[in-house]
Amino acid sequence: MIDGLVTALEAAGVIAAVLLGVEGARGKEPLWWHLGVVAVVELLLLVQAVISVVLLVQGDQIKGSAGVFVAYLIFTVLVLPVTVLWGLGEPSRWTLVALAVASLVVAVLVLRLDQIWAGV
Amino acid sequence: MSQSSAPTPPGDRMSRGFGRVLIIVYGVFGVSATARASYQIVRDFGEAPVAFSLSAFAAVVYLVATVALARNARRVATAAVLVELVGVLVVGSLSLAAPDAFPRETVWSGFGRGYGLVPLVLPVVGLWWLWHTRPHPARS
Repeated sequence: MIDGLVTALEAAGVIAAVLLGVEGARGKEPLWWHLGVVAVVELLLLVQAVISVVLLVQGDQIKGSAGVFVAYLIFTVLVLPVTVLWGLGEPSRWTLVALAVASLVVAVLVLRLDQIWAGV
Repeated sequence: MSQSSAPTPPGDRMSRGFGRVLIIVYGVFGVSATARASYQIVRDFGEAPVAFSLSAFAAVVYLVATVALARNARRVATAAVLVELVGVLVVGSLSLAAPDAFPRETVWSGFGRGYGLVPLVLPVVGLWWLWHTRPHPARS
């Protein structure tokens, strides 16, 4: 995996989690810019996923288990969209809290992905 | 949602408000635990059959809890959350007392330290939420 992109994703995930968490804690309802924050993280995740797949196809070796890596990769890309869909079923401050949690989950999963790739 | 001011049908408060956050966390946990357990069982079940079976069992319980919470199946949700609490406490204690019995990590080993202690916190929060949203026998 690409170190810079991993760092960017970690930062984006944590910043999104803090921002959305604070907005949720303040009792805000979901606004478009909240979804924009989520979209930025998701975009980075998609870029990361595509790059990972390209690297794999080109013959890069995963030191950990490839099956778990691919499962986690698919999962990281799905977490935010599913949370958005589920959360907007009942838009409320809790939608923002759920998105904050999901962003944090994404940051943790990307960390795990990087560890599996490096065989830690 | 303003807390308890809106008249909500008593049956479905579980899946609303904070319940949505809880369901997302349970869902994430259920799916990732299931993926990991299936992989471990398919790949190297022989290495640690007990640990991997436990992981699979834990994963299924998380999925049951997720669906039950989302569908307001209170009794099923309560049962699943209680099983998790007992599981994490028993397996957590055993894994520290007799590490040899668990050669490979399970979700519940060391009270879920491999998962940031989330497996220990989740059932407690789940029980609190089930209590918080309990139906009132005598409507005020």
